[in-house]
Amino acid sequence: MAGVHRIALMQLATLVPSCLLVWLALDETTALSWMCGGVVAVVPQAWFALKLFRARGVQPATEIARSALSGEAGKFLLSAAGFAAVFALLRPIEPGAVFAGYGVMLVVQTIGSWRMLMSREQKQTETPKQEL
Amino acid sequence: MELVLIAAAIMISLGGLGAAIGIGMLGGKLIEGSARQPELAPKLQVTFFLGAGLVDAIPIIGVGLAMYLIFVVAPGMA
Repeated sequence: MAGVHRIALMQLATLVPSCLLVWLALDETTALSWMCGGVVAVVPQAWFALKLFRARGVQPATEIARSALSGEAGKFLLSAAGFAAVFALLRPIEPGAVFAGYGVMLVVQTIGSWRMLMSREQKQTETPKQEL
Repeated sequence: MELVLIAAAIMISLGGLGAAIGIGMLGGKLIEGSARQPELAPKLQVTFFLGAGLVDAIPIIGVGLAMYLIFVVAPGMA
């Protein structure tokens, strides 16, 4: 659970400074579009992670499958609604910046997930095995 | 203009099809692996969740592009 929060925080910690950098380097419209793309990536991902990691562990397979289904469906619907809202309501908009912000958040998520897996595996190999 | 909507529909549906196949394969392998070695099940679940989160990123980008086509390229059609 802590790892999941860490990934979401890492995404937010990347989004805000990168948005400020875009604002300073380019303009306000591009920065706002970048921010919206990032938020469209972070919120559904946080929902998905929350649903799935709540069901993790030793639980009936049906329970885990149900959580996975609702998490996946929620993520998809939230993303679609987010993109629709951004493209329908935000004017003026810079579509390239929206997708760039989304893509950067995706890269951060991939790196965070990979690091989380690696640290988990490292912890497991470092823990001495108890011999019977 | 109608072609834009058809393009958006194809984009969403093919992306969804690919993600469905990918997640189905992932889930099938998770169940297979958990049945073979139940002690590895929690670890496999985490890997599955992370993999699933990445697999569905591509269709979601497809949905985003479709929304762009619908609401920005052809706003009168929406």
